[in-house]
Amino acid sequence: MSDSLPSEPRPSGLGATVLLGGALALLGLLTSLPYFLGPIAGAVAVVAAARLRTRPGGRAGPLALGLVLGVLGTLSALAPPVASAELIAGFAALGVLLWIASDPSRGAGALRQAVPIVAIAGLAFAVALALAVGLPTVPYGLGIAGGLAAIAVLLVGFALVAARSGSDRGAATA
Amino acid sequence: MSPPSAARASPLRWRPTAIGLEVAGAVFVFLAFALRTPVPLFAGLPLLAAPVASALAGARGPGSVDLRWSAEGSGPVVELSGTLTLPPGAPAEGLEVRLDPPSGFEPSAPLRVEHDGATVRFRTRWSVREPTIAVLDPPVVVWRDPLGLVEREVARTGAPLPVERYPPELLRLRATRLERVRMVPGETRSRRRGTHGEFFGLRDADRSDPVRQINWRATARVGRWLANEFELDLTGDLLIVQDTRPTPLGAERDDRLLSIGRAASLGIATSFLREKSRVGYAAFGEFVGTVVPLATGRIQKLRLREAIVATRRSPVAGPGERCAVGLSRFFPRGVTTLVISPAASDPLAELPPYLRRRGWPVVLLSPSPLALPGARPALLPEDEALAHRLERLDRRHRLADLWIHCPVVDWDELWSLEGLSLAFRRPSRRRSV
Repeated sequence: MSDSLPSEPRPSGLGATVLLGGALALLGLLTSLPYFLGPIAGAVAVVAAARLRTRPGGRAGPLALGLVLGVLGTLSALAPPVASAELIAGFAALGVLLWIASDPSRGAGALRQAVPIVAIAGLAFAVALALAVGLPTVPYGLGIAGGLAAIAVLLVGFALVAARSGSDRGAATA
Repeated sequence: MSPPSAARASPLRWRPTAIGLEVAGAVFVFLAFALRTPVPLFAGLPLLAAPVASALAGARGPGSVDLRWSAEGSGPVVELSGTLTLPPGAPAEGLEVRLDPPSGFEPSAPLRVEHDGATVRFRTRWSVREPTIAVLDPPVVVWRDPLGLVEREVARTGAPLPVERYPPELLRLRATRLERVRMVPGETRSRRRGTHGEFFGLRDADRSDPVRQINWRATARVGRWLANEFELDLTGDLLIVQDTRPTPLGAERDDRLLSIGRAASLGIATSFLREKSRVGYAAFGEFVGTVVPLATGRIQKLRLREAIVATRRSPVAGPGERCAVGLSRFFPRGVTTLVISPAASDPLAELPPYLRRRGWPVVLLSPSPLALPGARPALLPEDEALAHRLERLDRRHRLADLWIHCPVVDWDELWSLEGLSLAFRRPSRRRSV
């Protein structure tokens, strides 16, 4: 039946998987776990998650995402409170977003289209990190406040866009 | 069938992935405060911001799409294909098609969606367990952001799609002469003219007329080419009575048997309408409910289709005598009457004798409950075989009693109606078909 239709290229997700695995492994290196348990846990979790989400049926996708997020949370909780760990943890979170966008069940080009979204999330992270560690005299509390402020700005923007899309929808269905 | 409609666009909806990211981000923030370390906070910040950014910066998707779709295949195979045409300049990326099979249909191939510039094509294949008629709702078109965090239903035009699957033998039924089973043949006269049948008159010959149709004597006498014109043979009128009364088999099996009967009704009616026969329809439950008087033509086909599709199982069973009395108000006696009934109990089997006593020559088409797969609860293999034999014997005994009154077609091969064709052609032969 589907022979007459050309097979649409699907993203392999390999690049995002490697990126996320590298970030988690680096984060694991910074933890105080013995026998390189940190990087091993990060790498194994990413490989296992990548295999889970490529299983037929696509029902293991949420489980794969939960596995990655669980390892990310565990490693970030165990990492020392230094600037490099904060930087790597943020990059790992952005890697998670890219990894979601490169899901093989999605059409080709989803990763490219997801770049602006990940960039906005990265901007919020960058603002918070710059406020927290970029200025030597600024305490961490200011970073937290900066991050929350960035989220508030995004929320306001979202409210404006939602109102605009509502008016567009009314025009489209008129 | 409802006219083409445009679904209303819906607002953005959060998907489970977005909720999962927000929950994970909140847990990270909680960890940061609980453990007094800022690292989880920085890990959670992009996760919290991503769904908001996705709704803020993602493409909005097309405002509406135009749907063209069709159903192909034959027998139990239903191949659905369609095209979504987007407005000029609208992005096709992120559009997803959701098409769920209705009851009685099972997917036999996955839904394939292909994005091709300004169009999105989709294909899938379903299979039906038994003959059926159904009206499929148009697929739901959803736009989803690249991360799969938010989605929005896209307005689309498109009409529901009727799907009819009935045995192929029904197409050969139109060659049947209904007079052979009629008590009083020839009540209506055909208005069709053709090359055979009763002589009707003379007309100017046409270049396409065969030589045998030229009336040589008249041509020689008048001095110009004249051809004979004939009145086509009549096939008679047909009344289809759908028995919708409940049976001891249970609601689920009753519904399936009724669905099979409806498919047969529509297929038989369509086949005879092609030959300009007049076809009527009545559904009998507690009373004679839906009635479509005898008529022919395309409009009659639409009337019949609407009536047959709208026929539902009756919660209460009326007596067979009531059906016979009720039908006499709408249909003349002598019309060949096809009763479609499972005849699964003695009260249901009384309908054909009552109709025959009231003057309708009846043919009973009985969809067999034994043909429904999975109709019986699981038994041991030996018990299963014994139960099947007993059920078959009981059914044959009940149908054999009805042969005194009318030809009976035990429809146990659901994808074949050869038996009905034989019953129409040789109604006087009293043997099981």
